[in-house]
Amino acid sequence: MRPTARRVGVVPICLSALLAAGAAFAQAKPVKVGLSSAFSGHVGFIGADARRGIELAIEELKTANTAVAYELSIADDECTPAGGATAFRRLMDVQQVDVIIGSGCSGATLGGMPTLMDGKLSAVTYGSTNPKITEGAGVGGNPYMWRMNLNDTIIGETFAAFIAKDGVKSAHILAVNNDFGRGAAGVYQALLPKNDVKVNGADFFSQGASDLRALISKIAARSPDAILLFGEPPDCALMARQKREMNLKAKIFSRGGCYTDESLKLMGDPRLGDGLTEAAYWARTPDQPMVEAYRKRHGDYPPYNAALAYYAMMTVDQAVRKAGPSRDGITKGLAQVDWKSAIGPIKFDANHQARPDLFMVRIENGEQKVIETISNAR
Amino acid sequence: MAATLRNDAPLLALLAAAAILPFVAPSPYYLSIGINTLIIVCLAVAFDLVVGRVGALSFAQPVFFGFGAYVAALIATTFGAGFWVEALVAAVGGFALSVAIGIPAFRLSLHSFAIGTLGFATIAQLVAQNWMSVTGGPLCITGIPRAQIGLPFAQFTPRTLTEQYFLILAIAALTVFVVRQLIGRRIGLAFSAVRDDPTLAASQGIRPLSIRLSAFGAAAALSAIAGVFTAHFQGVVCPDSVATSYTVMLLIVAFVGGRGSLRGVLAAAIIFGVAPQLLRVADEWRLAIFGALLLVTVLTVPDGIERIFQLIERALGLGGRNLVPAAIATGPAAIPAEPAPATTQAPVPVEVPVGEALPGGALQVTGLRKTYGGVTAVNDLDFEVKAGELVSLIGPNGSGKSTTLDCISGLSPFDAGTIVLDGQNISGWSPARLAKAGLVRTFQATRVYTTLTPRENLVVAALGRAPTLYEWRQYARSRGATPGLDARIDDILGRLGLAAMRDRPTGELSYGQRKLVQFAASVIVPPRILLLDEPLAGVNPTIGNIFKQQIVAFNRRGLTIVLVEHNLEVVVDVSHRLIVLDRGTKIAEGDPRTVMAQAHVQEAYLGR
Amino acid sequence: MELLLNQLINGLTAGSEYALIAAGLALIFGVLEVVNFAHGEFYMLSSYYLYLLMTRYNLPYVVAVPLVIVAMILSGVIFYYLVIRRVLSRSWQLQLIATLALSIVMVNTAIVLSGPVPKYLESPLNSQIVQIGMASISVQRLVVLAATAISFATLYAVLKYTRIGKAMRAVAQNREAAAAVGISVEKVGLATVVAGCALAGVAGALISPLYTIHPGMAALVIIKAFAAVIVGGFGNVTGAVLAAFLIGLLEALVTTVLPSEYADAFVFGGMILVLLVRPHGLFGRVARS
Repeated sequence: MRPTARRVGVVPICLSALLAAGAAFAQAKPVKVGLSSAFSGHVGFIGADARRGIELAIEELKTANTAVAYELSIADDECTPAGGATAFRRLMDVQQVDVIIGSGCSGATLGGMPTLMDGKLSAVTYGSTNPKITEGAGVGGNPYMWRMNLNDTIIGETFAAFIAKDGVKSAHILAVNNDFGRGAAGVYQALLPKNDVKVNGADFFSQGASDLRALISKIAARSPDAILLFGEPPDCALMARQKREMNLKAKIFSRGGCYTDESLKLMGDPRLGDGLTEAAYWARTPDQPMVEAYRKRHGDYPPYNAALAYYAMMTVDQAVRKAGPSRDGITKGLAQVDWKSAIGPIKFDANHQARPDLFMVRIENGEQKVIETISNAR
Repeated sequence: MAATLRNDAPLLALLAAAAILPFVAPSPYYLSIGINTLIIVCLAVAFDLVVGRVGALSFAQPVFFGFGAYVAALIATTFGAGFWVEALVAAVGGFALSVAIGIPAFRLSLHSFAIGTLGFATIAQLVAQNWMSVTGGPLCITGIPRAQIGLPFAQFTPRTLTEQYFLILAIAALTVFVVRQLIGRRIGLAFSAVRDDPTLAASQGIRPLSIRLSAFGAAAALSAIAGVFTAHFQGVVCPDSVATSYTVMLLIVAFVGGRGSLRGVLAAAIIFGVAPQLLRVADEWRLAIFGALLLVTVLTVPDGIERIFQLIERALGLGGRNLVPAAIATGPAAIPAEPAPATTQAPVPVEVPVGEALPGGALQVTGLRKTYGGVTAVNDLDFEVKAGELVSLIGPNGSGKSTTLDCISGLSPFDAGTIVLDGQNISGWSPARLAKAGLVRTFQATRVYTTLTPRENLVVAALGRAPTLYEWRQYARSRGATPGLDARIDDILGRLGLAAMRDRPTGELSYGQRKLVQFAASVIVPPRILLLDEPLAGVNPTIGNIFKQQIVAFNRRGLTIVLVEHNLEVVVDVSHRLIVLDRGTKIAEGDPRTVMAQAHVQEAYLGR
Repeated sequence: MELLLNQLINGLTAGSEYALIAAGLALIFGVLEVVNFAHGEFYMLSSYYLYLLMTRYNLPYVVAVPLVIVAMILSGVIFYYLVIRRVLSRSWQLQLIATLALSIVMVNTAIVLSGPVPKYLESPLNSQIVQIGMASISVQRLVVLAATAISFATLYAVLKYTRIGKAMRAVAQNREAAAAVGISVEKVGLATVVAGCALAGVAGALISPLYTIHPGMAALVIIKAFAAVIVGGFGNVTGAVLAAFLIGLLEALVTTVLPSEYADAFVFGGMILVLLVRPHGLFGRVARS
């Protein structure tokens, strides 16, 4: 008890000392932030989006926190475990970063996690949703892995209840056959029955598959109240178009980006998406200044990867403010972060999982509309 | 010993340099590049055993790598039996899996083999992706602990990057060692033989399937061991591990390095492992650049980096035998059909040499029929060849002579008829089985192993003719000197005037000389029956004369010979008996001069 | 029953997509014995041509489609002289690797140039839906089905009745003999490659409005087309087209009764089975001598 109490007492003193030295320190040695994400191949846009978000955050921090200056390095993890291990290693040993933001993909994050132990370096993921990351982080064994975004289990608990409340009695799961789709399907197969929603079945389609008609015909024949669709924006657009062609009436609940501008654009006629509801770990709500700032810079609304990476960068800044800009300081600081962000509270639990808000977004008249913001804070 | 040392020196130097890396690397990141590069080295060197040594373009290599990774992941996360058990299960299982894939896949022609293995690779990935209860599907197997390596004196668990590096360096060194051992032994000759000409190999008693499976299986076992390491190194195994995208990388390394060249493949693997990390500036263009590099290499320098090595050696005046003549890369299609060559040889002794007596066999062909589509190539053919006889099959083009030889030698299945060798029905036997039983043929076109020397051609032929058990025991021996056999090889090459060519790649020999090598290969272990398909076609008179001498000489020693030949002068001179075919039917048979005098024979030849 | 009818239509329309792509693949293999690993990328290329013509130059769909096919013919000429002609006399391994390398270059160049984010093109026929009994189908899909029939009939007629078609068949049967009787293998090769690329162009121009256009769009389709070419008998165009329809129907059927992720396993398992029982494919000719 006693030593803990003393340390807590010491921190503010250190902090004020740091702040005093602020301006001079900032010029002397910038805090190096590494972004690990996919920059090449078919998912290369994930990294490019995240980079823009972080760059926006760093730009804003130049005036918001003059005590330190941030410098961004990037590494391509190709969204694979092996790529994650290499990218984390590169950021840690060659770029000598003080903190990693990433990876945006669960596979790469899982691959990179063990590496962090060697360099006592913290990583904050902003987009990986695989529950295994939470299981392995913090008291799960890896003290350097942190997750700012909601994971599939947390989203699932809230979303399943929402679906039941919406009057759905039976559902069919249709998911992309990758870690995201399989993971999400598992979560909802367990959670929906608990909410008295019957799961008729689960089908998986290959990543990049284009003809879903055989699947849709089969699902239509079983006439469920709802389809749970776990896929990426192009998959959602295909589903919306082929659903019209096949004249399928079931409601669609989705995860993975069906509400995004990209998805609506790919539908050709955005109204084809009307009625679709997505549980989103980020959405364009009016009370987020970063949305307009981003639009001013890039001409478009931020994709969710950009927005989440922006908030991850801000979370890192919160940690730096708490305990200083070194690797050690950021690790200690992340444990203390308690930040009321525009997307909900960011505070890491024993498994290093934060619980910001969940957004229910519905497509109405071809436009996305946040119908409910649900707090997950405990 | 000295020669071995000289050959191994560059490899040992490379190994030493690799061993120093951890102590000079400016940061551990370079060690992680080193580890990734060494994984590529393991896979590429093993892969080259298949694509370079036996010439089969396999897309299934990542299956075995992924298999090893999943085996290690499953064992380590369930009952934790330690590294050795994992490696053993992975290697043995990988070998068994490769046999299970290889037996059906090698039944296909080599084009289809490539696509067939692509199908197997796709299925393997589907299994990894969808067998959730075992592989975890796309959710991967995570939390794989570090390898537990039991050593005689202690338990070693590589934790630091340096320790991991040395573990994979040891595995890479083992892979290179095993591959070098295989190539350096007589089975390496069999690999080259099957790659250069599987039909010839089969007709000499070598079973191409067994040889290919050996290479395929060895490569699979080695890749699986690399997979075991990778599972422990990454701590997570996903379906990506068996993805066909690995094949693309391996093909780039194999072709840019130069197929069948260990040093070329090593160099390419190292470049491919290191360069992408250094070329981070061109990140988004990286894969496009690699594709372009591969395309340009294939179109302009089919031998890849190996060619550069050869040019450097030539510039430095380090002659020596080219390990990889251009013929491998350019393939048989590129060997120009050679017109009758200018003779470059000294006149040859022409007296008929004597030797020990050879017990010739007897052959009976009854009711042989063979149709292609609607065309009957051979129609109810009966004939007999007595022990020690020399019988010639003659007839105009398209009369069915070569088809008859193809049927007798097991090369093409026939529709009806029986073939009996020394009282045993041999209908339907495979060429290899027939060769082992003493029925050997030559081919009208020259068929030799172009990348092997004449001596090695004869060694392979001798091995093929041996009983299977003895053949495989011989494969484990060094490919160097072969006492006893060498004396016979020198003797026959000397008699054919090829002594000076003994150790040059056969691909460099003239058309006629290659035909002589083929003949020598057919008699290096005297058969019971020898089928000769137009030995004199396209050769100059000097070599034609040698053939005539040798045919007569071997027949006089007792060898039964069936000769198909267009040079009627020679045929009439040497044969005991003639059989004349016209459009698949026997139209005459008997004493040469009598047969040739018959009007309908002349008519068949001169046309109507 | 309604489900069965629906799945029959789904299987046929999916099969016609595989068939359009497999036909070109089989043609190039049949005549030149070249396994064209870049064939799928030509399908992708033609879709991007369509996209460029419709968005950059604002051409209506019906005008853009013929222009795409012209562009693909030109691309085929370039492909022939740049790659195929140089490897035609080389070993088949080199041919295969050369086309594989080209496909790597094309996919990754497309990723860099267009970005990995997919594009969508609206064809006017896409939103017109007709009812066939209980099943509904968009006109665009009917067009694909019809185009498959027309392309195949045209190809068949060309091969059977025209000089160049006869020359193609001669080269397919025996290249050396064809050359010996004065057939220009070079011309036949050019014609074959161009015809193959034009078929890929038809496929891209008609199929891509149904889905989305992205650099990796060919990956999943081409592997089915390969399976069709193998099952149909290497180089047998008719066989490949029939096999493509079989694959489409098999997928729809398996999807109906089993979880959909097994469909691919059935397709490739079936392919291996066919190879084992009939190494030259279901409709294969006997191997040439």
